[in-house]
Amino acid sequence: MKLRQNPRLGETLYEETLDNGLTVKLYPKSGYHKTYAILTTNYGSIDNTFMPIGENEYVTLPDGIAHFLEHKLFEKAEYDAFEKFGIYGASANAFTSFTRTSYLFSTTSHLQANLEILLDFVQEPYFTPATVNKEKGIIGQEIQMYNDEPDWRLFYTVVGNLYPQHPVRIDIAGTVDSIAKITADDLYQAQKTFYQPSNMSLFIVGQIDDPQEVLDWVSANQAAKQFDQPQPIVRSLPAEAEDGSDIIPYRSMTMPVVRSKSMVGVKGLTDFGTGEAGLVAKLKMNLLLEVLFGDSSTQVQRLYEQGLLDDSFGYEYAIQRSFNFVTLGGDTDDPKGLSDQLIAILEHYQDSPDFTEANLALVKKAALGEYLQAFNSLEAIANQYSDEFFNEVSPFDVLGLIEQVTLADLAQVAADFFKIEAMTVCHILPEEQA
Amino acid sequence: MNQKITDGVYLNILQTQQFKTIRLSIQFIAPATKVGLTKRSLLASVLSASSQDYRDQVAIANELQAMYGAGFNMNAYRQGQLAIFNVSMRIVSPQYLRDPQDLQQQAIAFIGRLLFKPDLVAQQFNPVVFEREKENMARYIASIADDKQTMASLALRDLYFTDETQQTPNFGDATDLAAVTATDLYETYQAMLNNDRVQMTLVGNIDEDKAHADLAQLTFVPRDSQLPAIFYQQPLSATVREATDEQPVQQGKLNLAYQIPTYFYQQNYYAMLVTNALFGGTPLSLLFTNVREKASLAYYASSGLDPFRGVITVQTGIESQQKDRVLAIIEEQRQAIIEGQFEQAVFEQTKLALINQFKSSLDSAAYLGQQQLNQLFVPETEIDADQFTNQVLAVTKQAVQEQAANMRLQAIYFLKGVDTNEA
Repeated sequence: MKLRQNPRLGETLYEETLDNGLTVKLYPKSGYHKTYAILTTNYGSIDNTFMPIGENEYVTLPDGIAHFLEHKLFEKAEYDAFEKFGIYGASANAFTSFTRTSYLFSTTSHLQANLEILLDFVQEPYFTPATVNKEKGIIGQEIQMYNDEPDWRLFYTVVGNLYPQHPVRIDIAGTVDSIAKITADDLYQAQKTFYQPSNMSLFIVGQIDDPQEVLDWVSANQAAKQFDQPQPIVRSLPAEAEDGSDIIPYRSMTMPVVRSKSMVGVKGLTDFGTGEAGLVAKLKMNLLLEVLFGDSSTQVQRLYEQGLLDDSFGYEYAIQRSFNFVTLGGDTDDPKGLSDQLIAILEHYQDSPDFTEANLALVKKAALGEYLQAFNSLEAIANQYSDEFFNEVSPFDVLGLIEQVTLADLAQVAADFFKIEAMTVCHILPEEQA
Repeated sequence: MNQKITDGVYLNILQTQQFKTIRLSIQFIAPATKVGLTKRSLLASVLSASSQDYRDQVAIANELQAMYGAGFNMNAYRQGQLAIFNVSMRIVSPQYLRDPQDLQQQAIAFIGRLLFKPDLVAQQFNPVVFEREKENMARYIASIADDKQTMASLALRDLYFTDETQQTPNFGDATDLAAVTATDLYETYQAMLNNDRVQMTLVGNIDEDKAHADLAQLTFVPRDSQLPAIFYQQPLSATVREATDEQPVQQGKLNLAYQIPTYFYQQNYYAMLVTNALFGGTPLSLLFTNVREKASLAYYASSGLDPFRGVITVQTGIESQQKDRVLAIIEEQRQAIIEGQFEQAVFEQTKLALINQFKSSLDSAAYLGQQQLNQLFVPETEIDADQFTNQVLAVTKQAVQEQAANMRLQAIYFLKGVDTNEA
């Protein structure tokens, strides 16, 4: 096994790629009672159009199929995987993002048995038309619930403005109409293509007495199964205007909300990939946003004092395979005033009183401390470091990468990114104002 | 071991090497009152907005950043009949820093500056800060209406509880808030600082002598703090209280309250813990499997136990026209437990899930601190994993049947979705 260590932190990560292509990472945490394991496939809601294994033409499956597949894999002819984890008191869960689907459990006993349940239920599909149809009611409810949430609607409207073609604009769960079209055959086809072990990784963190023994359990489970030869996955995405000229600059809508909401989105017109370059882009953008809009931002303080924003204000940089964008905003009585001010700060970042060496030094210090604190949380370790950004880079390299960032780096990122043609705005207004 | 610093002021140190952090917390504890909840919530906002040494939020943020991104939280809440004003910090354990600095001493000094040197103008809280924080809090309370799940759960509590303090949400009440003056708030502040029971807790790799020396920066006067029992009880109502609101939402919410005669680590507690878990407290529970999975009636259906107030609540998100069916199915699940109509395997698994949950929570420094606090109010609080395990395993099927029969339906709140004709 490959070892990555940080002696000062007393942390070690073990890595191995099995014969069938599955990546396994083991991260023992001494003193912990719990073990958390997460099995992830590099397949999410944006991967609707692809070349199925063994075929030579693209297919497009209904929106929401990755998430639907995630739900359906738990149910088998003979058992339900949730219940099987339950035999040992373990708790299980799963989630689907734009680019990944993850299955996880946490337990304080019977690690081997739980690992086998995890690997088996994800790798042994079973779907019938009857079970598929029943799931449509459950997921339909889930979709409707999100439709009632104004913050969720705001976010997807902004993403839809930025990406008029790219499937990132579509709800991860799909729509009531799209999931109605999903068939058992569609699910088999997606599972066969995207759940190849070479497209997956298993991350185990927490109480691990003997890493080699745990790896042997996983290896034996995998060796006992037949898999096709690993094949490259061919996906297709619709073309977006490289200069951002197809971005919809503004949309507003009314909803039954008490206060208005305002959000600005900025599309990253450069694809950084998901290797070290992507990771560095992510760290730099997060530092830049923290410098301009974080807790120590005098500009945000000014907007707060002017009553343009409140504690609901937030910002995020989403960077995943094939897309990256910034969103920022929150609740306000003056949605136009807030979005105008946020855009002004982005465009004139260099004039911001917060864009200084001194503020960056503080922001970096805080980032280092928060990074160290995150090693307390098994979930934070697993969710963060099972990400494809950490295929080549070690979790322990992040400290050094943060320390290296300079104000000149941030100026470069801002100059490349914060262009008016890459921005959009969405406002949600209370119904009575409509 | 809880050490007395002076009358009414205590320090508890939990020594552990498990974490990369040190967690410090100071709780001010008083009897809960309706208007007190509102005032203490506002006080938490005002005290953490500025102080004599920190002009504004930016100055506070800078100080926290300089302490390697220390986590800081000031908030007020209610537990049973007690009002708790909490100040807590999380700092990196200095041994893990490349350039060590005395973060523990700095964090305690920081708390001291916020608590003891507030931003005053003429013996009042700075009116600009006071008015702004008051307005923000009013907005926050108004915005709860946008969060239908929370709104429905607060409406249920309002319907179920007969005591106005218990009806009021943790964060307070909009009408009470509107009436609070800067003078009132300053009186609340002084009363809290001088009269409340003070509990300090440290969790992490702690040098005890240094902890005492660092905490000596905070000078608390001796106080005689009389606290009521933490548990809240109310008489059973002969009728089930019902309320319905209509709103233009796609998904309806149906929430129920059951009164139980069982309290935190008191008689039958373990049996009630298992009963709630079996009823709706885990993904294996009857509510989850029969309302959500088997009948496809709800996106979510779960139950929660409040063992400080003797109540189990059920929350569901449903198609509004299915209300009566969902209600019937929920009651059928409770009836099934009373009659012992549940699988032995599910019963055993539910217990293991509770044990797993308990042991897992021991991996959180915040939980360990909370456990210490609970033990002060309820000495029977179990903190040992093996003891907890044995007690849960010892719960019999018959005990669970009895506890399900002890659950008395008292309130039904329904947020009915009406058609919005939205695309």
